[in-house]
Amino acid sequence: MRDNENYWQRLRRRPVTRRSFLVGSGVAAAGSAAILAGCGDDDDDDTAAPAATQAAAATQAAAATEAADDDQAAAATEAAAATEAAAQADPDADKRGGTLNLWKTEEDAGLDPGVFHLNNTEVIYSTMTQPYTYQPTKNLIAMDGMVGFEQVDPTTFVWSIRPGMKFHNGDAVDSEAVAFSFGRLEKLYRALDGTHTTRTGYAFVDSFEATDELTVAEHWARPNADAPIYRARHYYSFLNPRVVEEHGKFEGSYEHADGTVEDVYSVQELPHGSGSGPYTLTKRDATGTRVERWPDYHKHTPADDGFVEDGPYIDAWETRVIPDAVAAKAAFLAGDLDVFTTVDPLEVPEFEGQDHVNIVEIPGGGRAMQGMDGGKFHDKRSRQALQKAFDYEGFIAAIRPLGGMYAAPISDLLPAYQKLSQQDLQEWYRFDPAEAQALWQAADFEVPVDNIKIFQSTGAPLQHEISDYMAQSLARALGPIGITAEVEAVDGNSWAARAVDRSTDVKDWEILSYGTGDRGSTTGIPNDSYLIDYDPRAYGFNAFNHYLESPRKEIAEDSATIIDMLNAQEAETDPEARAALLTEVQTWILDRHWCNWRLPVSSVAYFGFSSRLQDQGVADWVNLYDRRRESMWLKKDA
Amino acid sequence: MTRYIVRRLIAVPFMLLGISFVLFMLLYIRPGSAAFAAIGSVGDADPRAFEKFEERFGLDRPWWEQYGDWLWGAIQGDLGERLTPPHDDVMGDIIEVLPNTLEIGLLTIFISAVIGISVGVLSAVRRNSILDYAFRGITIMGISIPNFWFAILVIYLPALWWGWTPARQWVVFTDDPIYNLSLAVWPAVTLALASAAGMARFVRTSMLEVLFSDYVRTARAKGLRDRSVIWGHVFRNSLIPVITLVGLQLGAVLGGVVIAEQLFTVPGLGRLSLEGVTDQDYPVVLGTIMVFSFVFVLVTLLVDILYTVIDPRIRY
Repeated sequence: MRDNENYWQRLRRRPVTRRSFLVGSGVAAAGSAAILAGCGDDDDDDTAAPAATQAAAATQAAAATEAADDDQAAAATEAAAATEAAAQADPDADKRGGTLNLWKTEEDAGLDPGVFHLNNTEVIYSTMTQPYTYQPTKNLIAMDGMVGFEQVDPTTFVWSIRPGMKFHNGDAVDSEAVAFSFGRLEKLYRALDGTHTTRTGYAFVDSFEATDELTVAEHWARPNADAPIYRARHYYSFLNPRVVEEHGKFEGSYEHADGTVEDVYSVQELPHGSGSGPYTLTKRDATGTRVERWPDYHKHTPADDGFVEDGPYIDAWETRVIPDAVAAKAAFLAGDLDVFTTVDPLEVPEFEGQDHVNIVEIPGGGRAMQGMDGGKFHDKRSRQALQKAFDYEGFIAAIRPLGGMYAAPISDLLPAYQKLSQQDLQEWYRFDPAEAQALWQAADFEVPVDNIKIFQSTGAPLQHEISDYMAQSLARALGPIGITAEVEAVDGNSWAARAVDRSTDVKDWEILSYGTGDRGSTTGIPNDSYLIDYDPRAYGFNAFNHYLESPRKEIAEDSATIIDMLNAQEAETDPEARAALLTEVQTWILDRHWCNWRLPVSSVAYFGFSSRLQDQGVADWVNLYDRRRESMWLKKDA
Repeated sequence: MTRYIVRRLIAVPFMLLGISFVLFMLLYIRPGSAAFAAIGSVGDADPRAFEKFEERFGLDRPWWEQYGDWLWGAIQGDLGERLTPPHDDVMGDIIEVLPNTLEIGLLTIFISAVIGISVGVLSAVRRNSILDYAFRGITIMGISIPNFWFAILVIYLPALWWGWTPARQWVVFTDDPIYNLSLAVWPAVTLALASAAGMARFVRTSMLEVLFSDYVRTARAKGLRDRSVIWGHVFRNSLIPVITLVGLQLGAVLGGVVIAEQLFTVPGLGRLSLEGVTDQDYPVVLGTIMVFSFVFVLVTLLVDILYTVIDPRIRY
């Protein structure tokens, strides 16, 4: 770089002068500023529209004044008659219409209900038909694509399909389509070595058979009490086999027991005609999805709870991708969303005085789990010591000031199965530092434990509060005998990786902390809520080293016991008898301090809806069947 | 000049190679796997699913093979496929969202330049006045406030007070330019706050240096009006370091875009990059960072070229 002495001379020769450059920049700046200044928002249009409407109304009024009185009276009579006739034709006319505004944090990874279930449910719920909904908090089944079912014998279950249903391309929804939709889940699972569908929902099934045009029979290898609940999940949506055949994407092959190989296909884009639900997909991109009413949707006669005889009231759903929680909250406060999510009790006052917001109380149902490494805590006394070293009352006072309750291995959202009272649970959850120390010192450790690392992910701030409290509580109780406690927090993926790392017999943490216990939901299946966390064939194995082949004898023996107990309760179809078996399983888990222990949880949670959304079925949002409620409607004047 | 540009352009691939290597190694040594994000339900999934996933995407191979494959593809314009379903083409995803990020970036630079230069000039011309003190105070605040925090306030407080929020459904420029600008201006303003404040202070200092130079004194002595002195002599000559700053600020803007896009729900390169980091999807992270780096390198080159336009005394 060097300076040129003949500056002005050089400047004159240049095709772009400094002046022209600066003038050009100035003009561009002014132009851009003008554009920016002129930028309105969507509200401008809204403002313009009422103005236009007012102008039109004024013109009409002027014209009306000029018109003869008789004409006016006649017109008014005609209008009143038309309104009355419309109301008689459809008494729910004022409920119909509108767009439901929803949000989700990410785009979907695919729409095939047999492969993915994350960030795609708004499309699957709305464009596909499911057998029915099950609401565990109400213990209620409401029929959708099915009209009935019957347990013919302990291993045969028969479904009756609603007549007159059609896929969006006009193909009939028949028993072949339903049997195909149910049967493909295991095939996909096996071809892909795992999908999001819960395998325990079909692992006991030998076959799904179309016995006549509208009847499907399930033949089971063994009885299963949860089968009807599993079929309520959206994985079991009715999918058009012809569309899969014509547009399917090859996912893999698997070998049948007789040696034949079958190829398996998915439809990740849900091409037209895949579903038979009340809406069709009209938009799907990085900003979100939109579904709109399908005019040929079948009738629900008679309509069960949450359904409407003549299709849903709402015309369309617009789902925005909002990755950030603050932005979502702002959009909700601004009235841009009809459904928010659970609201932290401490945040509830922020919503006070907002007319368009409706905060409702729902059951808490959360979980705050502390998983213990069975590679280190194989002696029951060591696990018991940890639980005795925790100050439960102090925890409730510090972390759950708005209402805390003790939690059992099964969610309190399953009243049909949860028979342990708060008094019962208090017997197991008792803070006793002296006994904790005695138990710890008496316990056998094959791998010495001087330091307890509480391992958590950085997802929720409350998680850190909980882990911190736990570390302090343990250090206070076990500190005098030389045991220290610390918290390590890492990102979600690293946390998951180290949680299930089985490269050695022991984990590189002692306690795996997960769940904040402030809110939760349930499918209605005890396995999902939350026996899977104790199961030596599931998380008990890969996350907590509590499994059948454990090199620690006590763990291996206890694994065999709990597997038998879990199988027995799952096979018991009588609800009362099953509840008794589930109480036995829970008691065993609590007595053995098996695998995980649950910290006290919030007794209530709050959920945010817009005040224009009616009949939203509050409990449905806890039961994971939210948005399948076709009787939701939007108040026009709210 | 041409030789200089060619030399700089030749250096670009080597810079990108270095950046990609360091980035790949950082991602490689991080614990965990994209399989967790892709497969998710670890309790119920068959453990073979993880092995099969790693095998399918070559994650079980040594790092040099993985990196080598990625690099060879990148040289041919193929940035690979996403590890997370639905396994889209990374280049396709980048091309789809890049215009949104560039729009916000350019808008940010424009706003920060307009505000920064105006405030800086006014502050310098009216030095030690109340206006100068006020501007200096405001600029200190602007530099001190983290842009993510400012963005949260910009999004949340209007919603709480007036039932309106700037974080609305994104619409691309080609669909509705006016509405699109009304959305893009907010993340741009948020990001421009710190840049404008920094630039205002820089312009003020630069202007003050020139204001006391001999040729300005001469200009005044020969009776030129203040306006001619300020705009004709002082401003022009204090512009060169400002141009450098504008170029360098692009780096900060590109960094800020990651957070701004997330908060203002803009489907852009920053959000894509953040998704890649969260999912440990290394082709996405490498692809997006390569684009960010390339843009940054290109802009610094443009700034160098621009010097010769602003001040023809400068030669390379």
